[in-house]
Amino acid sequence: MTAQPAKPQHWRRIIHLLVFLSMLIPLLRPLGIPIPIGETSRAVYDYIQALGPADVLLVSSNFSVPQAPECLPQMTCVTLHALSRGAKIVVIASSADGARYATTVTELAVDEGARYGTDIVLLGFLPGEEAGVSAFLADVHRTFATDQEGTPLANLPLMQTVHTGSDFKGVSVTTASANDMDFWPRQLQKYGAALIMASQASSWPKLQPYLRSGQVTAGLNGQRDAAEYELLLHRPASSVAAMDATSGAYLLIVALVVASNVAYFVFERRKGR
Amino acid sequence: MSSSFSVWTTALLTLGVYSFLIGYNPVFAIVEHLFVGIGAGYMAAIGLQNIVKQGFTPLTNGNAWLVVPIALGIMIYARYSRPVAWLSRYPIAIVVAVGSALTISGTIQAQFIAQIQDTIVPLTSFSNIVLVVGTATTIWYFYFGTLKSKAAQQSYEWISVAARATMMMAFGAGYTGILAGNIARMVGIIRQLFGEWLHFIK
Repeated sequence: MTAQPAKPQHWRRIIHLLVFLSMLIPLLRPLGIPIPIGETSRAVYDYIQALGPADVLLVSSNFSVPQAPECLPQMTCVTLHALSRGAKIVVIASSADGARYATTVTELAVDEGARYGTDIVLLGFLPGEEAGVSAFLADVHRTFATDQEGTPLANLPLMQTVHTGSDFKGVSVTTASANDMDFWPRQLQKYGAALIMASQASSWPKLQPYLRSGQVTAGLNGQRDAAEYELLLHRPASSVAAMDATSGAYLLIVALVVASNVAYFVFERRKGR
Repeated sequence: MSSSFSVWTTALLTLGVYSFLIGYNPVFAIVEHLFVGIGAGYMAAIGLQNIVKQGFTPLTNGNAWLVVPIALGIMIYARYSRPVAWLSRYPIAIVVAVGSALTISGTIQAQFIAQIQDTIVPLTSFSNIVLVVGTATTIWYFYFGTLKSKAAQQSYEWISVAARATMMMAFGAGYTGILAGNIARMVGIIRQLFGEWLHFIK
């Protein structure tokens, strides 16, 4: 009696299990794989490092629960780093889902010592995507009469220095939307503010033409760049902790791709005979 | 093991979602409906809050002009009544017109001139050669790839091959990004289950 080959659906479950284990094992027993700092995260770090107390950075979030493991650490790093340089932060969300993360990051910044109203202000959800962003950059006070909690902007000292897009030294957009990558350069170009974009890894190729042309000053690519940024700030957090598991899964997937190709060519040759 | 109610709820709902791996089942169905319901509720609440904050509150504070966008917003719902459905065309026309105007004015510089400028580079490095050849052949493939003459098609076959290779590389890069994102997501979930919930991960 010969052994029966596993059915395709069984193979699929075996692969699911292997991928799961390739992530779980490095989390239980960290391998300590080195994380060298790449050019992209260094470029963002250098830009934020050059900010000073006179500069205001607009931080925008547009991502949802599935992208949070990649995007939330990126947004957190940029915001806390800018605050540590003395820069002032205005936080908005260009999607309803992004609003909760804008709140999370603002609360974290306040917990870390930022003074609400003076160092950081949370304006909240800005509807309308491109039209909303365009109106906001043209006249901040007309677009938002109050902050997210309903405090009139007239009562917030930071907002007395911010009226249009020209008052921002830079804009940091953390997004899972490919639309943002098109319309932010389009709408921001006339105000002269630098544009930093952080995205999930799947949107990264879309950002390349803008990075190359200089329309986007610098960008962060997924969890990897978030981990590098955490290391640059000497604040290893969730992204650094996840990198061993991520590397484990990558290694397994590369091995599976190689094995599948070898199997394909071996069986195709046998069929040919 | 965690004693937090929210951690337990998250963990059990996550396991409920993954129960789909053994097939569609009642637990998955409950979680699926919960997810859609909560998502819709959250979006509705944010939308309502937004209308109140940016519409009705400033209106009651004397910004009478806000009557116009609010009325246009209400007119969209005319679609639900056939006799007055035509009213909904006005707000949609305005949204489309404003959207087009905003896009067109910025697109010429941001998406045409700047991008074309950046593609005209000296062929002094491998990266520049790939950029120029890849861009030119891919544009050629879509604009001139359907030549009627068989002879012409054969003469330019190498351009099509180069274009397809460029596109395959671009799709490959995109796929890798999607994979990286999914792995990051899965690692986050495992950390939540085995870390926050079960306390196996320090």
